[in-house]
Amino acid sequence: MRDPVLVAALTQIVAGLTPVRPPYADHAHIYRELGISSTQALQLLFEIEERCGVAIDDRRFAKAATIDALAQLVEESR
Amino acid sequence: MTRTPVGTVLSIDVSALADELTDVACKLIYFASPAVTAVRRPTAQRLEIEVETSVDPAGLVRDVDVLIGRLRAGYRPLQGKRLFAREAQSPGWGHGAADTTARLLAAGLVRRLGAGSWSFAPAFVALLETLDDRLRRAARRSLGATERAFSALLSTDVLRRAGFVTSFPQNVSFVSHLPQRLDALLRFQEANVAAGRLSFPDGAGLEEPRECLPPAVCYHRFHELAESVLTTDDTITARGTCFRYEARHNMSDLTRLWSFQMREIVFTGSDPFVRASLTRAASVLETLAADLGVSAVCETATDPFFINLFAQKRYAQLAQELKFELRVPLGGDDSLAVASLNLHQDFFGRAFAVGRADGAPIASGCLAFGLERLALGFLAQHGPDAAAWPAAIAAPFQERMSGGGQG
Repeated sequence: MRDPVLVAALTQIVAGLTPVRPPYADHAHIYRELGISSTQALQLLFEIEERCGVAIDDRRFAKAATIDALAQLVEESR
Repeated sequence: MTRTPVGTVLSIDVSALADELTDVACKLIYFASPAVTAVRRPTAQRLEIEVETSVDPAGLVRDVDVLIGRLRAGYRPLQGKRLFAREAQSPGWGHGAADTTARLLAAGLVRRLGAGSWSFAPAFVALLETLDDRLRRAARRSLGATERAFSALLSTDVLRRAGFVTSFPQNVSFVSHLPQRLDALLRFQEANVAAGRLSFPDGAGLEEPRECLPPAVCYHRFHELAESVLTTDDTITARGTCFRYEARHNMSDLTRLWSFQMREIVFTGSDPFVRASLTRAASVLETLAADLGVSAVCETATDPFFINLFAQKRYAQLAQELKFELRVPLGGDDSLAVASLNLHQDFFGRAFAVGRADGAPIASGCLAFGLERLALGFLAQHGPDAAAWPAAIAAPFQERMSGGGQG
């Protein structure tokens, strides 16, 4: 079970980048289904790192395509 | 090839800049002003910018500082990935880009006609055709490609849909023509009958360009597939003349041509098909490097996106391993990208509304070769004497030179 505060923070960050409004399905693909472009990925990464106070591995970030996967990545980066 | 500076030389401190950013800055600084005639990096900490004396140096330094600031904003160092590397046995012939170009000029194999524009002697042509023949056969036999051909002109709207005009505005070559009006044509003709240089009098200026010169071959392919449904995976290969304006004074040697020949293999269809095709294409590259007997490295790379898009697009390309380049050393500290592998994901499928039977946009990818660059890299390592070349290239080359041999 993911930290609901973390999931809420990530949902807010994603919502700021996509025209699709929350709530999002648990495993919605943030690029293919929520419409975040690959060129927004860097902005997404910076916002997550700043908001969550972590440094994230870039290769793992590139593979994390759902809010759940991003939450797991943040938890493991702490 | 040394050159005595002409004009003013400005010095810029780049000690705080990552090497990768300095390389990109060196290319983009030429676009800060047409008066920039050379950009050099004499030390790791400093750039020297040579400008015509007519330029306000303080203003140019300010512009360069802004350019560098924009490149740095959002820059994130990323470890690249290497697919393969090989060391060849050949002793090497050229000592860098400028030296190799000078040697080929001295040998009469090439002749410079203007900015990024060259003529090539029969032996260079024969080598280029021998190399392309090798690539065509690999495209057909190893990658299952069928051959296509395209006209030279490309619609500017196609390039806009492809995102190129915003990603690389500095590289686009637009095509135009005079107004289709008799009065304008007559005015132009009168102004130019005895003129010493081309003149565009009032009322006889160029029309807004609706066509351009293609910077890559694959855009023609996406144009012809636009608004259609592909029911099967597909691979095509085509060769075309491509054009990338690299700033007038930055196209002085053979590594940067305004007009060049590209051999491209384009994969379209499902994502697994495209990824598998690119994996096979990487093997083709490794085999090619071995057959050519050249030292080479294939590793992740990034395109020279324009300054305000550089950080985001570079990151996307590197982190997701969307682009790999085959680089060959030219001697000295120089190396040259002669081919690239590109995973487009569904970018072009969406941009050109090319769908699959299930309704999803197609994925695509490509393997692209700069043919003059491939020949240049080969010559930099082996020299122009075919007796010193690997038999896989020397034999068909000699056959072409003696008047026989086709593709």
